Amino acid sequence: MRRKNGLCVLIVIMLISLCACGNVETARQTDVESSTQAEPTKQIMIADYPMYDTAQNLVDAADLVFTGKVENITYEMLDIKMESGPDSITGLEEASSVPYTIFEIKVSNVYKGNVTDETIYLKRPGGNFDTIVYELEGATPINQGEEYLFVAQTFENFYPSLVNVDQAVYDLNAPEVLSEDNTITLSQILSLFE
Amino acid sequence: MKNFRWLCCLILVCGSLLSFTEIVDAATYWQYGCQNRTIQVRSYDSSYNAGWVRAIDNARAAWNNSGAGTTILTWYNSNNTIQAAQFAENWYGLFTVNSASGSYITQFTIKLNARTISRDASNFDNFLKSTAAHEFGHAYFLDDNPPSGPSLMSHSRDRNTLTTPQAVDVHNVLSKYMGSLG
Repeated sequence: MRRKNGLCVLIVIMLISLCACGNVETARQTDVESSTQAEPTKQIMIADYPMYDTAQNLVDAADLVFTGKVENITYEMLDIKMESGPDSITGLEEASSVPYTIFEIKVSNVYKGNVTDETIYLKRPGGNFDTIVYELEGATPINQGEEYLFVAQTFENFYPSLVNVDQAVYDLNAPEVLSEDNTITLSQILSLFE
Repeated sequence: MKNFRWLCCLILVCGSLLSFTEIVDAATYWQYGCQNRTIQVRSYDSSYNAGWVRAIDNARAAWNNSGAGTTILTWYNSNNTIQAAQFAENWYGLFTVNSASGSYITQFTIKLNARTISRDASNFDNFLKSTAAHEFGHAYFLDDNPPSGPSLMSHSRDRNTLTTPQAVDVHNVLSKYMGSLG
């Protein structure tokens, strides 16, 4: 009798678990719906960037590596198409603008690149625009007032960009931090310039 | 007493299973995707040079022939657009959800960066096809860097050789649409 009771309990628990598994996505969808009703519209951007195996490869891919303090954060819609008129490679005439966050950074040390200004403006896709918040999936947090090492690429007539979404920003207070998506550390990068 | 212990163990095991399911799900899928596996993108054949049209066509064909039940069509009036040009950025591709109803994408834009693709490709056609097909994968709820591979959605894939949805990608699309979306 006891065994039968135990078996019944087991079956009930397993059924509840299976139902819960099936409802994980449904629950998440409901969360998204309710959040979009109460908050500004959220639009997500997701980018396919090159990834780098080592600190050396990461730094080689950049032409600007520096440390600095984030003084201010603003948002701009930018036309990032490099050529006016038809693109010389693809032929496309016009492209839509992209929402960007612009980080105003007071430069502390420059490890790679030619920098003459005390302040560098760095762009990253995403940003807050009145009723719309654009989020770049997986972006490393960059906070005003904090100091970071930035690994970036420069462009003529455009703000520099970070080389990718999760290997290009390092908190100066966390030299050894590794993450699931990045095994390169701040210490490894700095050691290249010693 | 014995039954009580047994019950506690079962609850712990079931709880762990639930947590594990959530972790796998979060890493495989992102929160947005099209409601149906048949999607349309705005016709692009008059906007681009022949090589780009061919490569984007091949990326659509890669999904259409993948076995995932996916069909990517072109239509002159679609709100979903593909924009390929030299952009002042380091990404190869950028997928933007312009509007959504809950988790379902109602409008998206794919940008393909001719600057970085031309710079890094040793096999241009394959590299572009891989990049475009990767972006289409986001329209089917697929997240970047799934835990098991090889995958079209991995950032560390060799874009010169891995150009089509892999078994794990097909499996994940089928699971998503045949499972939770019905």
